[in-house]
Amino acid sequence: MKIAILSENVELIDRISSYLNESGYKVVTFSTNPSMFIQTLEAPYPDVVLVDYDTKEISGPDVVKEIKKKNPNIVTVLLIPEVSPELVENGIEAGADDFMCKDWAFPKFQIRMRLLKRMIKSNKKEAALFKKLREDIQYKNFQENLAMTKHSKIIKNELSMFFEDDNLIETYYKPKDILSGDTIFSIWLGRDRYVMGIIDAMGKGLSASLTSVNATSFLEYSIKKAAEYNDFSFNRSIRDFINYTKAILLEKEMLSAILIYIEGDNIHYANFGMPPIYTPEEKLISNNHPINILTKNFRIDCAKLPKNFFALSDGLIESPMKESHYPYYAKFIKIYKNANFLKDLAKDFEEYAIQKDDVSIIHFKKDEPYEEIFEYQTEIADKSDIDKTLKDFFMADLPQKNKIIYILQELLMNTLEHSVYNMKNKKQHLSYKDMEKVRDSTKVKIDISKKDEYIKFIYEEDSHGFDLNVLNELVFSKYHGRGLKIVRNLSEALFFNRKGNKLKIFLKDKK
Amino acid sequence: MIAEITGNIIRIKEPIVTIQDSEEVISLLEEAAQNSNTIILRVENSFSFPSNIIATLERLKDSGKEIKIVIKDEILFELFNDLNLNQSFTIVKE
Repeated sequence: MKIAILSENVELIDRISSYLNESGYKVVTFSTNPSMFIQTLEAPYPDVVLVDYDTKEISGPDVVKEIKKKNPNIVTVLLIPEVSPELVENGIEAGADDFMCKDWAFPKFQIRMRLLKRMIKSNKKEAALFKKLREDIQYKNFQENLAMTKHSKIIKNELSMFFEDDNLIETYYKPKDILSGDTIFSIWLGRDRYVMGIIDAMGKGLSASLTSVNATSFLEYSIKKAAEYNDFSFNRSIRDFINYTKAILLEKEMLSAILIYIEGDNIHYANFGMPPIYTPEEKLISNNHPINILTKNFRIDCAKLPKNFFALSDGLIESPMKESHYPYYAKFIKIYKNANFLKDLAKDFEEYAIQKDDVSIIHFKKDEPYEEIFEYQTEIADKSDIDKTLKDFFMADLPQKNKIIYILQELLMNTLEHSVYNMKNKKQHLSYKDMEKVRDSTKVKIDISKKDEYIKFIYEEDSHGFDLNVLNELVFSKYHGRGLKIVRNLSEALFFNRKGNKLKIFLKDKK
Repeated sequence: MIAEITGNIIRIKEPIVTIQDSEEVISLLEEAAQNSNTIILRVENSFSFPSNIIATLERLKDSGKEIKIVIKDEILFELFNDLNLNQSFTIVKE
């Protein structure tokens, strides 16, 4: 135990030093200058500092405060002239751990030092335990974030915020644990041709996650390859998927999946034990049992493409309500028909239900005609063009003008930085004059229209647009894509075209 | 001027609309950072708070500054929480 003594009274230092030496303790420092002591206090720190309450230059309690600021783990003991409630209270307030009377005789002093020694030993043990716990949690968080990034890299969800003509597709994915049994994927095959699905490996943890990610990864790859050779068949893709999945399933393991193929005005689906596809008019119920190692046959059904549908994993409807503990299903069935976008559903779920499992949702919707209320065209070559545009919008009479301006700030800056200039990494902190200008200017067209309580904001630029490959990764990234996160948060829904240069943003005109 | 500085306290008094407005706030933040280790930003009358200002605040935080943001607007306050900015800064609703 390393001990420091701090007092302007040399006699007191001498007496306590001799007590400590006699008891076998090591005095590492003694000082008659409190300020200097605090200034020079650094690792390796003493275990205990005995501080004289009656120092003149800076009071004993203030010395304790300063020591604790530098290292709260140092045990501080105030040497008080007498046991008085006032002195003790001042010391406690300053953070002192213990007190000793300056005039204590050796036996009493020795007993108190033994108690201190025991306290320090216990403190050190506790500190080591906390340190280990902190390191374990940091490691776990690091690995979980890495696993999530890897997950989003393996599983491509191309249509997570997608529009093509009047088709709007959005997805919601909220795993209960990082090692998730749910995966959600979506692929663009051609104009009006999309494959999408949710795969839910029964059970939880690493095994379920490996099954789900592995099976989805195979399906996604085989569909893309088939499409590449213009040889896609929904039937054959599902057959290959089942055969592949059977080979990786454990004996009693099962896998649920809903696989959807939209082709023009038709929807083809094979549902292996997942909740139905919910449309406002009907429920397209499961047409297959969950896949297990004995699965041989399967069925695909076809229906007219609904104007609005939700496909989901059971995590949404089976999670209990916060108040009643009944499944969220009863609430879902009442509200989904009026849910215009996923955000309506997700907000309601997050507010009223306790998530007990992974939740994945695919939402398809046919866009409707809105009444145009504002049209604007401009050309962005530098910051002054952005400022002019923003000022014009600020002067215009628009619903939800604050939100529109905030969204525009982010979109126009993105156009300038990534379309006119080539700003690959915002962390570079370069000024525009240091950056490479890749084109003189970019034309931007903005249309605002309205229908009932919704505002549709269409932003189009004549360049390459957003890099859609990084969209999904951005959602999990802490520092990147903040502008996009802001736009997404302010809007009810956000959709990109395939090229990434046109956005449809829906806002609610809340009075 | 849409904002003013007194010591380490910056008050945003009018809406941040243009890039020039953002740059004015950024410049005041950098000035405040030279005066103190703690910066207090009062967003009194602006709904928008562009990402380039947030990026500047994060840079200052990374350089060891303590940032406290006082927000009046309810939606902006919610947005800050949704963006997990409360992990980096002290955010207070006024």
